Amino acid sequence: MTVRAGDKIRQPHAPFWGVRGRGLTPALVILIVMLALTSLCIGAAHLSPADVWAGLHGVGTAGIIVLEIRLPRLLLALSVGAMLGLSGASLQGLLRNPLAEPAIFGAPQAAALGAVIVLYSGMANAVSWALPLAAIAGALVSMLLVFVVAGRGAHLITMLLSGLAVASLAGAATSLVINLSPNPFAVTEIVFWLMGSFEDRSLHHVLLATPFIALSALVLLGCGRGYRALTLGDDVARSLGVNVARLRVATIAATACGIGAGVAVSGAIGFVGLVAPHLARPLVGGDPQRVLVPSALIGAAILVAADILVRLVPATSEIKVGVVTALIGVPMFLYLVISRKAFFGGDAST
Amino acid sequence: MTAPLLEASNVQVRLGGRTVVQDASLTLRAGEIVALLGPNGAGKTTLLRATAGLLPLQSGTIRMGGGARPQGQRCAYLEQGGRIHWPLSVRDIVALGRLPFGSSLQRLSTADQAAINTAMEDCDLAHIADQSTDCLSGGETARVLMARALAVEAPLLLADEPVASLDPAHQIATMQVLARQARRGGGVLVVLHDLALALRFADRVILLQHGAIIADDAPEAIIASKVLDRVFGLEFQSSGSGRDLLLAAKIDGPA
Repeated sequence: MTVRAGDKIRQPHAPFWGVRGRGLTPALVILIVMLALTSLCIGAAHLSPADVWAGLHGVGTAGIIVLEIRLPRLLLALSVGAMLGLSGASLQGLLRNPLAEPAIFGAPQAAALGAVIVLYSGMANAVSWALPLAAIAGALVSMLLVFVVAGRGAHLITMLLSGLAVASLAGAATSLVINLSPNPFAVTEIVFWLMGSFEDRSLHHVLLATPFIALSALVLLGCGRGYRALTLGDDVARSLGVNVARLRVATIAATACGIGAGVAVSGAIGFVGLVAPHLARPLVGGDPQRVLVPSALIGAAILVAADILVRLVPATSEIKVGVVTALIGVPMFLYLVISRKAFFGGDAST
Repeated sequence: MTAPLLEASNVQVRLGGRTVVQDASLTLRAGEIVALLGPNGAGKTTLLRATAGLLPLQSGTIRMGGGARPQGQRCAYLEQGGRIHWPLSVRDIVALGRLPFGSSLQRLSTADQAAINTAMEDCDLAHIADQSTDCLSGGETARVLMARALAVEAPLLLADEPVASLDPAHQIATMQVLARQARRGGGVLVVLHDLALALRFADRVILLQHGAIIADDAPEAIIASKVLDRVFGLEFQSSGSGRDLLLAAKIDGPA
């Protein structure tokens, strides 16, 4: 590449657009409201915005469609998406690494294992508290396992490898549970569920997941100051009065709680936690605290948009939302890996 | 005489099963710059980190002045070769020094603003205040981190090799900033590798070898005692005034 005088050199992290600071959150909220209204209008039966408005007040058939089918789906997409975006941004802040996200700890897979054990051992039906609790326990175990195996302050490669191992183990254990399940239809059901979807969810599912998600969101937002201090490393953050050990525990526990609850009701949806902070970061200029709220909002917007998309594509059975996020997220992840090859030690000269 | 800002008695620190600092005692009073010198691996950084409360002590005590204020307000710590992991603006990084006062970037008091501006002026950063820290040179980064530590306005400043990546002019400028900090009534404990710089600016020199303090005296006395020759295995000569030091031709290598 030749650079000539007067060429514009892109500054990788410089904020762009005029949307910065105060204007950003309202802009994202407006985007989400528009997506949410679209989400309520679109589906097997097309509803006009007026129908949706009437439906929200429980009038007629539209009332049933909006309140019992589309609203739960929308609320889950919003809260799970926000949780994924927020937890991705939080883990990136904690580890000071832009490639961190819940999936590198194997958290979604382990949460799925927890949920599958409860569902298919007949311990509980599909809408009971045992489900989110088991999923949260799974996510927590995997995250702790990765942290213990990789060790404190480990290089991301060590974490990725440990996470990969934990995720594979959880996947294998899930297959085992399905094989051992007395229910012959388990395989098909569970495979579809694992791909992640908001189809046919009820307000019960919303009530099961949202308390956990809200709690962990509060904890993670409270950790923002600590993530910002960690910009200067563990020692300096501690010298500034930040309890780094507590920050680590809070982040892991809250992430596991939110991700587990999300997986329990919607299956494993990947890559939103990676993509959302990356879209948010250019808007706020790299600050690990200021990136939290926009990441959550962008995560919510991505999942609502993806959930609209799966209803628009003509197919015999609905496409899974986890498939859509993977189709968008994996190329982006690969792009990030390519653009950071030197960092990963892929360059022979480093 | 006022109570010392820092008083370490018989400090022993073990890292990875090895005793890195043993039986170290030192005091630091207001208005003093004390240079911590010694060969590589002598335990300078470990002693400094222990002093900052970042390492558990095997035995001994560390007492810090400053009354009932939280530790973060009493002592600023500047890490050796510190890195900035996210591309914040220079001003935002310096503002992190106000974190112990409960200040966030969104709510900075006038006192916070004043501390941040003074620190940036002291470190010659005012002209790049809004630049992103990922576009800075190594020397600029070092000055940003120094300004961050100054912005705490803590009575005690613990600095680990703050001039390591600076050109000679900025090395002297940084040492002058430390001197100003001391004149304002602060205490500065600074790890240095540049002996000439240390002897010129420090009020007192503490010499570490194999984890133990082997000398704690005024620069003139340190030079006169020839203790540096023994510790570094080199022959030094003072040139003219009692504080300037020259490296002589005879070089034995590290002791």
